[in-house]
Amino acid sequence: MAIALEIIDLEVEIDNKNILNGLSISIKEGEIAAIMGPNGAGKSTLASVLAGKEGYIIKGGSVKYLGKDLLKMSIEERAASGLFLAFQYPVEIPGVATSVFIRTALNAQRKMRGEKVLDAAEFLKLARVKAKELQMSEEFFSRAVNLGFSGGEKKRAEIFQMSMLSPTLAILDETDSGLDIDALRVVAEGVNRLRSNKLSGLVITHYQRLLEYLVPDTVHILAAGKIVETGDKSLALELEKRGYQGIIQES
Amino acid sequence: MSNILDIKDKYIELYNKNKSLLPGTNLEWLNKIREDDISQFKLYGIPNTNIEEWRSYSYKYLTKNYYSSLLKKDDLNGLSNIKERDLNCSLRIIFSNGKMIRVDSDEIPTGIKINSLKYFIKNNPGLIKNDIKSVNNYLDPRLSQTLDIRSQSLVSLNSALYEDGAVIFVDKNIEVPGYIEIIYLDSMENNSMYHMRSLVNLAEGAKCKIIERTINSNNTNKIFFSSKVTNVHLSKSSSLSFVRLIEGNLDNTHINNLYVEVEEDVTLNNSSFVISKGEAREEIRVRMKGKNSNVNIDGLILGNNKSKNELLTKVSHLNKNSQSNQNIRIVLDEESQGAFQGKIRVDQEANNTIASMSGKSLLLDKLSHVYTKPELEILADDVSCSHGLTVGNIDKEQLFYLCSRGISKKEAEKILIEAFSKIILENLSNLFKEKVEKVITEYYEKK
Repeated sequence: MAIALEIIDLEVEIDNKNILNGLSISIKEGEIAAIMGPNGAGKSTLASVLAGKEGYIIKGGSVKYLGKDLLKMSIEERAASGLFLAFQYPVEIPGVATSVFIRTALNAQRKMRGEKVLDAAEFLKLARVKAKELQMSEEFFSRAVNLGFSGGEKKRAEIFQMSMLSPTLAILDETDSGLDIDALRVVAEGVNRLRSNKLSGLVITHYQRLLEYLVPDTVHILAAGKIVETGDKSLALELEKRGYQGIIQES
Repeated sequence: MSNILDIKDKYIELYNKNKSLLPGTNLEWLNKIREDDISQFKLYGIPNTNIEEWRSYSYKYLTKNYYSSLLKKDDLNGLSNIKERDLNCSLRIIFSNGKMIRVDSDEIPTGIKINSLKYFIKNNPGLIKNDIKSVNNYLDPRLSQTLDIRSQSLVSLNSALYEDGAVIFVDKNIEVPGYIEIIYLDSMENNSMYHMRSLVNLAEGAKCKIIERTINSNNTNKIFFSSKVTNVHLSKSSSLSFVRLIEGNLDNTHINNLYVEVEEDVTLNNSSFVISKGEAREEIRVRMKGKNSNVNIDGLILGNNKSKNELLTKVSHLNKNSQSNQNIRIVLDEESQGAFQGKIRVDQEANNTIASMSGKSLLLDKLSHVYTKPELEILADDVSCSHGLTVGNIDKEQLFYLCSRGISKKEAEKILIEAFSKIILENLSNLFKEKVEKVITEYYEKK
């Protein structure tokens, strides 16, 4: 299998503080990698840097995505080339209807890729199917983006966007936080439905719970800005027993 | 260019020369108001930045330019800018350069009187006698209990010089079908001005929706000044939606004063869209005299290319159990200036008042300025009042979120700015929503 994402020795600083200290990881096409780690390890920074958020200083290392230099691409180019970040805290945008937003995004991506844009009817048809899969009511299409959504609705809406945009690299940033067990299952099933040998995933989480439903191919432990341990799904279970301290100290 | 005192004298002279030609010279009561108000104007003249309500910035022309001519001719060419009435518009009254051209309607429904002020002054002065008021009627006590009229000095000039206006009277329990549209087409000559006095009176239980537009129809930049004073009376249990769009051109100065008197169990929804390319000022003063009434004031200011747009509100709660909400948005770009002065006053008797005011401004360049001033004057004990004003830039988190989905930065900014502006449309009656949304969308497209 070809390498989808390859991060080598990534060093990132924000506000004069080193957050990532030589992080290396590589993910194959079709591979779902879980990244686990204690608070402040740099998990969310990694997600933000990959998506292209401003304010981070890249001090060293490289990130290649499907052979291209990801760090040189604009935020929207990253999205158009298949990167999708499911936010830990999805942003509320009053005054912008969810369906208008997703259609604009989808068509902007399609345009950048030189594909045909979807008209309103084609879009709606697709959106209805996807919403149903995630047990979401269509009423949410006309609601403002994330505005007044409950925690669960927000996360579900992220996965809905993901399924509409059909990315090739999905980064889930603590998508399980704030979800009850039923919502967690729906979200995990939503992601599982999208799994294919074309979709790579980076699942950032604190807990092993999500990984029961969304079974990863590899598990990496991030501490103090570095990957300190890599293994298969059993590593997550071991972590559950011994805690971060036990594993980090050992390594 | 002249100085402010010369200008004052010239306007007084203009009045004295023309007063015999103004409508209603045969009506003693009306003459008296004109005379009273010109003497008020004589005292205070054109307001400048020394006056509290006028201190946000100085108006470029008002204090320096004498607008020599009153309106002279209508311009029928302007009519080509007007489309057919849409289905929901049951009545439409059209003015060109301050003169009424015509009333459009299939037939005027019973219980509704609509025509020009000139028409009523001539044919039915008794009907309008109580609604044409001297500026002295609009005095509001300050906290110190002094009555200050200086800020409304232009209204006294309007009183002396108005030549026409729109008059709408709705009888008891009549609901006007669809909505009424008032259109002002401007294609004025350089250095000219017009003064309009309009009246809206809803009898008990009457319901009415009105949209008023001021459109520069010949698209050339002429130095001209319009003053529109509108007096609204809302009787018990009546309901009014009033939407006003001011789209002036460069070098135009539009000053609007809206006075609303609210009796009990009334609903008023007022939305003002101040998007002139020149200078525009909208003053809204609402006196809630009756109990159990509900007043919503929404306002949007959009500024670019060094324009100056200002909104002033004063909501006075004079009786108990009433509610008022004010929701204002301001978006400024390209060295434009904007101002919002909002005031809530709750009189001693007005217990159980619930009043709120919210104003949010978006500054898109470093050289644009916004002036906001919230004021609460609360004399009653049992009251719930709130106000919040913010000034900021485009939200970076929102921008990142949109871009992370593949939308370009430029497009994302456009989406966020338009959304910020269009929040004001949310409370608008569905009859108006599409119309106003189109104007705002066009504004952003032209920019």
